[in-house]
Amino acid sequence: MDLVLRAAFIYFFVLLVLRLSGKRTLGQLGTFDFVLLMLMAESTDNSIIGQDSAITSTVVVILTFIVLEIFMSVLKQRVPATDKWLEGVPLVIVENGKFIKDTADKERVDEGDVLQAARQSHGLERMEQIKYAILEKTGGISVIPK
Amino acid sequence: MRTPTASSLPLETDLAFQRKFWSVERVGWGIASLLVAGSLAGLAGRGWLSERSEKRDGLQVRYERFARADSPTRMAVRPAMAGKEGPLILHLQGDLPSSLQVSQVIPDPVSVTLTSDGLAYEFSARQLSDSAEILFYAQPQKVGGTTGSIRQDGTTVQIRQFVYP
Repeated sequence: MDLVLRAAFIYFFVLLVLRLSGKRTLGQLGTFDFVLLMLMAESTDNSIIGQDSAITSTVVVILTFIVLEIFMSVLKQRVPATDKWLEGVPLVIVENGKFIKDTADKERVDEGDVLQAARQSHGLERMEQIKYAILEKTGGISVIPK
Repeated sequence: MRTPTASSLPLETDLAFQRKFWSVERVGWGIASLLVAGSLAGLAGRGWLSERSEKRDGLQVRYERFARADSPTRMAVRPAMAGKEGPLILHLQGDLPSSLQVSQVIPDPVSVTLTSDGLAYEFSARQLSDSAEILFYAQPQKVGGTTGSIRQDGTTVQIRQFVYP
């Protein structure tokens, strides 16, 4: 019984922590984020299964994660309000060449990040060439050129 | 301030919701920071907030107020040695025998006996110098609050520990 409880607790805890750390954490896997994910994976390992090397334990834990994942995706679909809280909403950070500093600062995105996305997706050079830049739910930045 | 809406795009944005969420986020960061600071100080075990020392009539016990399940913790007992000859017996009572899985005792006891009120660890006075501490290395097995005591002859010291899962 405690295996399921531990797995469920860690699942929701990691979900909460990543959600509260902001979109950019998962958006682009930069060095910081990669290190974070690796370390988190390592530290949860022992506390879920512990000293136990039985196959049953691994099976139960993996099944628990999968069931929780399915449950959460059904929940997001059936109750649209939960989708906003669990995944967030897309945000406009550039409109007609103008960088919306207020929103961008709150999400810890700077002009360099936007310009990088603009170069990578459309080969754009300057902010003025951007019609819209959207910080997506996933943390990536979509650029729509003029 | 005009709220940007990217109106030519069918975008499901919601700045009102986002502002609410940002407040929640900030509160979350505050709580997380407090927990980290508390843990640094010993709230989750092993730190100055967790160190406890109880003394009574020459019997002194140093232990951790906060411990974690299946994680090593240490108890240091300085028995009353004044004029002591013959065997020295320490009784672990209350929740202690069942909740602590003792993995090592330094020095090795002469014997460990199960009695009606707990575990009795016997040492010979020769094993201990005047200011010696007997070290119990253990792993708590029970989650939650545990209360127990350590007794030497007629003197009892209370131990209260909280074990995190």
